[in-house]
Amino acid sequence: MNRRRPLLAVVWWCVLLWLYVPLLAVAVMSFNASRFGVQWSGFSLTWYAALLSDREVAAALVNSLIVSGTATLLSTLLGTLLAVGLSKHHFRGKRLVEASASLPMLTPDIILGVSMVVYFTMLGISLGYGTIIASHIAYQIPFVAFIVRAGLQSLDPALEDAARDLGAGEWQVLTRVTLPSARWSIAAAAVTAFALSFDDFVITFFTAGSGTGTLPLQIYSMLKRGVSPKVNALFTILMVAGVLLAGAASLLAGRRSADSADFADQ
Amino acid sequence: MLLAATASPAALYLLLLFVVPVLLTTCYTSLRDTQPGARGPSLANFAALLEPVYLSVFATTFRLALLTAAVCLAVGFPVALYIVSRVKARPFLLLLVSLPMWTNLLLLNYAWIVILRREGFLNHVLIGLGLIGEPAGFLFSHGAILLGLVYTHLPYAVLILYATLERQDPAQTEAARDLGAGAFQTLVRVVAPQAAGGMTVAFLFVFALGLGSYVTPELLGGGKVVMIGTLLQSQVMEMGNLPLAAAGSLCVMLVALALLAAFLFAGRQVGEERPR
Repeated sequence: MNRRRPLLAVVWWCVLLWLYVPLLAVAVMSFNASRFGVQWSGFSLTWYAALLSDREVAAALVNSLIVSGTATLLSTLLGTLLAVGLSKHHFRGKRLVEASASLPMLTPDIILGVSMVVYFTMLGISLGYGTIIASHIAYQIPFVAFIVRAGLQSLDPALEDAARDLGAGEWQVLTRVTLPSARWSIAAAAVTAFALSFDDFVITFFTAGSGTGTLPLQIYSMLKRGVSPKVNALFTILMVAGVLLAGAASLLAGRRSADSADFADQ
Repeated sequence: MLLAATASPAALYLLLLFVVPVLLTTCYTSLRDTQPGARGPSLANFAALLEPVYLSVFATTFRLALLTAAVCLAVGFPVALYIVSRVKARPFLLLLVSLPMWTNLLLLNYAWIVILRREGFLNHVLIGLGLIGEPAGFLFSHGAILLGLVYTHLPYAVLILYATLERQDPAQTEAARDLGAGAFQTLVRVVAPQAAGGMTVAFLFVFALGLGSYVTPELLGGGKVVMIGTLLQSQVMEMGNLPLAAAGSLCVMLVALALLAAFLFAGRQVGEERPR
């Protein structure tokens, strides 16, 4: 497929331009000294300074880090175990577990949000950070399991067999061979899970109740108040953070394939 | 066999905090009658959803989700073809297309507000070029929502289409070209038919996500265009009418489940497309 395809290249560049121009526009505006309109009136870091001294934003960021950190830790643990169980063992009802483990990925997040509110209300559990974290974990587990399973599949089964032949028990095989060799996939899964939780607005919005503030909730209320240069600055920072997370996840996934190549060589 | 149990904590978690909540909401709460003194299950909530107000919300949602899926497919296909054709640059190009997925959904929509609003870039440019005299209101329209939905869903479509196209044997296109087929003919008669399964998956996936969208219609529609997401949110948070929201959720869920079945079927077709 190495023929030159000028028409495809034109479409590609147009789409790329269309994808990035709006984001770059926000980034450029965040350095604009002018408060209103799109007239450029000089480079300025005013809005970043204003953002840094905004206590509400700082508090929301801390809340978000705690919520997403906790949810990521637990979902990575549960999701990794799920991946191990699904890829290494056959048991009755496995298809059912597989299906219900992939359904949350296909369920529109608003349905998850509504269902959680109805459920928590029925159980008399008051909405707050606990319910946000609990919902995020359910949302993250399938993605973690999916990524870790892909990593486990590229692992040479001969390694585990060798460990068994050398007298290792099931638990030792898991903790000394299987999990260490899947470490980069697990790390990639954790980064992805964190990004999913940190960026989530809809599920959080429904399960938050009043008196809670994570960063996306804070952003939403700022947006409802209209376009402000401070929002531009905040978004530019989040964009850079997103690029870093994406880069980290793809590097980790790359290490995964490098790892399995190493194993194949040995 | 100690390890056969490793899947159980997560399975239990998903059962208690995904399967049960969704089933309870869709199959139990949706049947609850909110009328005072009413007893037993009733279809009152579903009957309420048949009121013209709600029917038009459903119609708008389906139309916009269908359009979004169609545009994503039409734009995503050539993009995926281009990425596949640049063999060495594939990973980098894929990363370029998928980067927006790593950005906050609120930001992706906000970026378009900055472009489209009355004091925004688009009006600025159009007035500067002398094409229009007065700033035009691009925001808060079906068009703005469609633009936002395509913008936020295109990466998914490209990734799915790429996965199918990448598996095709380049020798087949070469053969078609050597036998005298033009680029267009090769595309229509060789490449596209083999990618039919992947195209179906991409279309259905984007459609399902589009049905449940909330942020885009809220920010770019500004309350003037109401989709199901906004309806559900207002029933839960403003009206406190959980049963009606539950009934609406069931409708969306049923469509999503029907799509899942189609999805699995199409997925099997994709599996069969591997070069033999």
